[in-house]
Amino acid sequence: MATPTRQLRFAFHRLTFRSGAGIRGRTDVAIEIQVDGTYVNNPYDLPIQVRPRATVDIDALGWAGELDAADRTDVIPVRVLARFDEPGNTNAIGEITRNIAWPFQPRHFRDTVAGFIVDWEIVHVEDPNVPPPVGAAVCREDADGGVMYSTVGPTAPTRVVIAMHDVIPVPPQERAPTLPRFPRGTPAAFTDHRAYTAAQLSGGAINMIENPACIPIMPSGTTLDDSNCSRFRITYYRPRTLAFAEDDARLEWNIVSLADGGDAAFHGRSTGTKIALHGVARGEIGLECRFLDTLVAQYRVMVEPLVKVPCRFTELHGSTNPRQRALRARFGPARMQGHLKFANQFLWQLGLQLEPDTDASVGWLPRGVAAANVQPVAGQDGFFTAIVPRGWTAGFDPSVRRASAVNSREWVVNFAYVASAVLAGMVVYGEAQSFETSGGNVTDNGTPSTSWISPSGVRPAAEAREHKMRIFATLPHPTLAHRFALYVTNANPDDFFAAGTVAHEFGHALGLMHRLEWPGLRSCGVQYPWNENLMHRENPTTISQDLDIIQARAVRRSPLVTHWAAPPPPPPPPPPPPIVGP
Amino acid sequence: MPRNEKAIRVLTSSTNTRELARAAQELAASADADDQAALGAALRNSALQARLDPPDADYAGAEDLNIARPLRTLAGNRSPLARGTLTTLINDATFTEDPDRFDLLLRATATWRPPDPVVVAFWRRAMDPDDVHFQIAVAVATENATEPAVAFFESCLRDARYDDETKISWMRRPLLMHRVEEPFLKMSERLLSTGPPAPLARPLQAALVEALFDFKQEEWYPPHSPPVPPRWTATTPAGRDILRRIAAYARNTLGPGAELETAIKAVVTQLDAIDGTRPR
Repeated sequence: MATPTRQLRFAFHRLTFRSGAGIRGRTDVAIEIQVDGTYVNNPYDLPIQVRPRATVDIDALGWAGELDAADRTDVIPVRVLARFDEPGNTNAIGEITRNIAWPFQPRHFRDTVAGFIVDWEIVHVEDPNVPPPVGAAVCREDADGGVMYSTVGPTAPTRVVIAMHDVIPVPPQERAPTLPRFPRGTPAAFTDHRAYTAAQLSGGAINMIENPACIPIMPSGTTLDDSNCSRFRITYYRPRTLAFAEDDARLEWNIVSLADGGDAAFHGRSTGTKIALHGVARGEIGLECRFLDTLVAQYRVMVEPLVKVPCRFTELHGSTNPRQRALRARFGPARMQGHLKFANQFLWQLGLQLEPDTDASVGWLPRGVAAANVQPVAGQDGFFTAIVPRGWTAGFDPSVRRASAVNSREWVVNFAYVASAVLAGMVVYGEAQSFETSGGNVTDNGTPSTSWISPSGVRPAAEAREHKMRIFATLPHPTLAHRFALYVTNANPDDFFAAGTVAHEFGHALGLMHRLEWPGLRSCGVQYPWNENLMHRENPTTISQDLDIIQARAVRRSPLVTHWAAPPPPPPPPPPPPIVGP
Repeated sequence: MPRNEKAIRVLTSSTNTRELARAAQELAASADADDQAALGAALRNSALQARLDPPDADYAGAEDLNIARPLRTLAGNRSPLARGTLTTLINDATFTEDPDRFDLLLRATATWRPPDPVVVAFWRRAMDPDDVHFQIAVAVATENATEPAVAFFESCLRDARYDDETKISWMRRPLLMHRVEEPFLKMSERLLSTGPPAPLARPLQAALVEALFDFKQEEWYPPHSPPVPPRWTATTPAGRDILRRIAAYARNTLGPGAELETAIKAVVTQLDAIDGTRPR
């Protein structure tokens, strides 16, 4: 029998700076990473230039450490330090130290301090000379807690765990379930937990983001196809030697109605690690995955009609001179359209879409601004440019000047792209200035729990509990009714970040609060996941992408959503009277 | 002889924006008179400005510009020579005619404590209510938080050019963020007292008391805007006495509604608990 390998690889993937770093513009930083007291990189390399909330792709820099831990039982310290690296300023931004205890299990980490988040993992480097076990043949359910076993190889049974997590990117602590424990020597897991990149989404379909909280029911008459289904994928299985294929017939899915008669239909096959569905009837459904006739994974999702919410995007310029960049919104209609597409990819998770307003009439304007100052962009419904006094696009306090209402119409989501807003001590990327909500609380109860909040109900975890989430109170415009007014500033460093701002602020307009709020401020009451939810108070779009089932439930109460939702179908006609024979 | 000739050479000839910004920062961090003089001259040179931030380069606001980097380093350099370079730039009308450079200079003065009269005059230049700088000037002055800066802030709160909504927003953010600091509490007391100068109008007095005692996160601010109120435990004994006097004034003179009355009472109870005294 081969000796289990103890060669460990410490792979560092990404480091994302947070507002606590105090980075306000282009800044040189240094990152120092040590494993067991040894640098995995040269900290005296050239400094890295970053912008606020930038993500440093450490994978691309190739910083990783390997360690032979065969004779180690003591802890292995891992240290990540980020600091400024500028003339006159080499202050520390933050430092993370973790002491990894024996037996050094493969794990993912997303460690967070005020200044940054670092994604890294421990990987067991497997000995290429040890042949992997053969694939599973038989599977059964354990009587005391649902632990799955499959007969692997000729001798002992091996456990099997399969999961389809509803948060993507999957929170690190749940990428590799700690229970049940696998016997030593079990091949590592297959994981598919990564966040979507800007490049993936920009080239992807509107329904690209998998494992959504809601499957939309398409309007009647819509041809159901690849472009309007909801996609799901397995995020974890161990052992990876099971080598499931996307269309693997060993994984069989079925749909169960959980509440209110919810129903959906498979789009294409119902087997494999990736499946797709269309919504059929509103309610809540469960997706059950069976491996060799045994339930191995479950997923809970709402089914609701697709709601298209009209929106308009207006660039506010305080100067007609393009050189006056400080007084002009910077992105331009083509890039703003890209933001809308990205945002709709995120919103597909809720069964919502923003749709450009086809009404080209000029909306509300501040006193002194003529309607002629607002021009629709040729050939682009819902997109406008406007010339406004400079204080309506630059340097305003969002509590006072509601620039986001410029060119707004009732019940139409209004995105004003502005140059800059000012809040003491903050870089301002965007804000939802006016919106109407249902207020109150929303509750969710089911298995798995929303975002798999512990206990998730996914065996062997304990039964899921009910969760309650607060919804924002209405923040009305002082003089205008039914405004859903938001702005986006030039400070958004790139299009992906700006798109995240668009989707995040729209979330506020629907009543969603921050998933994780600053200490000392009132929060929504649901404090998990810590980093991956789109409504995180500050994380960039590279991490915060998910919207979960309690949020999907909350937005269905928004007056904006109910306003644009198609009226419920009329009740079915009474059955015809029985035909009585002569 | 300049101490950092290499950096000066880079500023003279390079077209690499990152190299230029780094060289400018090296000079900005210097305590050498020649370095500072060279930097001041370079930053005022329109050709260097264009090489540092080409007009067609990606732009994400003032603080994203490369010229922000030496200004940031200058702000962190407490030497009189660095302050002299900042003064030179403040007094250069051509340099400050660009709104971004104006804003960046304003931000660079936040850590100039106590602020030079030139700095306070610069803040006053920013206070045109029809322009785009006054909110930054108020934010910078309140971050500065020295006696002259607070006096400047007080003058803004008394300035008839600003509407009540703007003044109330200043009470609910910059003032609230400093509500435990004595200079801001003394200022608040002056704004409520009989004067001279004349106190604020009654509605603004009530708003000021409310901002100090009754933080309303969701009613006052859009989702991203609420400040985190500092804890009362950070007050000094003298600061707590001022707060008690303001509370008494509000109760006796302003006729607070039940909600504000309750909030005032709760804060005074906390202050008393900090002092280990019985409720008064």
